[in-house]
Amino acid sequence: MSTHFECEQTLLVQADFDGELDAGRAAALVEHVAQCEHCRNVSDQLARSRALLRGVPRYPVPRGLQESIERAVQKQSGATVEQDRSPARGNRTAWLGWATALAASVVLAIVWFLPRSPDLDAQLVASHVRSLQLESHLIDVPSSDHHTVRPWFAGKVDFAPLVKELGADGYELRGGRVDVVGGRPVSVLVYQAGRHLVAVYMWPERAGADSPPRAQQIDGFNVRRWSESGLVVSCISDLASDELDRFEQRWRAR
Amino acid sequence: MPMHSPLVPDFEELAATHLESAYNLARWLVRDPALADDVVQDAMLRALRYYHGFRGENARAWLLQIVRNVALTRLKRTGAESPVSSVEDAPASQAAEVARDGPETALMRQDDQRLLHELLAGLPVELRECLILREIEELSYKEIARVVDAPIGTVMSRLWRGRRLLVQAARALEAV
Repeated sequence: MSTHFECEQTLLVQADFDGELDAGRAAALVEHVAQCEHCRNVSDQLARSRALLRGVPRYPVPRGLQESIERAVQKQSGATVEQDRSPARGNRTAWLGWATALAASVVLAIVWFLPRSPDLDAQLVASHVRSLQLESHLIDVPSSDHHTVRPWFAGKVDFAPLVKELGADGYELRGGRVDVVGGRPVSVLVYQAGRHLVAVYMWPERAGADSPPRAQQIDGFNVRRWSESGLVVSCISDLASDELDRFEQRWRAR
Repeated sequence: MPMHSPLVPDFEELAATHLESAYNLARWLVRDPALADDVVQDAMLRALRYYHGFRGENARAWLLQIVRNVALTRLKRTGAESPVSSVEDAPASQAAEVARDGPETALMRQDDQRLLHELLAGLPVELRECLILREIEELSYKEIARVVDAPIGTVMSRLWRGRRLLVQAARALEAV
């Protein structure tokens, strides 16, 4: 294994994956990847490695470490001397600093573990990213006609997905596919909005099983989720946040 | 030394904000809880000493750079792990070892986390640190380059090698 870069574009594909390329270069790369088997393989491996690593939590900071650092910092900074002169002030500053730290770390721990645990939205984004990397996986039924797309899902998923035509609103239906997310089959519709894509994931709502509507950003993708007609609808897109809000609004209006 | 005093509350806030990142990186580098404690504490004190020269840009990368330097110095001193290793096939052999430990060690099972930790720990440290900084700490290439004191191109090729080895090792496990 002396050479890792069988195609000179390998590291560019990776840079794109890591969000380090500007839009122009990323677009040029998409064309190359479509024709280069090696680079498609690279994309697969990148997605796989991220799927493996994103589940790894940070090591939690041991109890007492903060306090012992605080003491060491105070000691080294000569705060002990200052404390002799003005004990209340020195102590309060330190106490406030570390109370804030403790509060921050609690919040951090919560924020950290919530989305990091097998989070559905993160899985949806991962699924979307995979579909983008494997061009052929983006759409299984290419059609802009909901009369074609909707029946296509019959027998492939055990529910009837909502399929809406939003061409008049500037979102062209490009087609649909079936994917598996969180262990259940989901329907996916893909809409084109200028140079951006919106993937609309749907699956049946189960009482108490799904979290309430929310909006968030994961790995640079905007995510919206809501309930509609007994289904959970989740949109993933590289559209800007306010533009995805507009999409949601137009979708729900129809 | 007392001249630092006015800055101490600021520094404490900075240290507290990035303590989790600092500890996580230290743990992944030295692979020992007690040593990681020492490394983080040392690094924080060292950071305090340099704090007057800190210009306020990208505190996390600045702090992690110090943590890494302290950690690698400690590693060299203890000889626990040489920073530069040539363990191209270590993860695969480790994978085989793990696989021998039990018949039900396919990935995507309960043991995922432990196996993944072992696979990661089996990577050469210069690849491992890039993966941790990118995938767990979510640093940009530029930030990673700063922390590990290497050109961006080097960071990119280390990342790719690390990811490839990890995926290969995971596949080897699944194939068992």
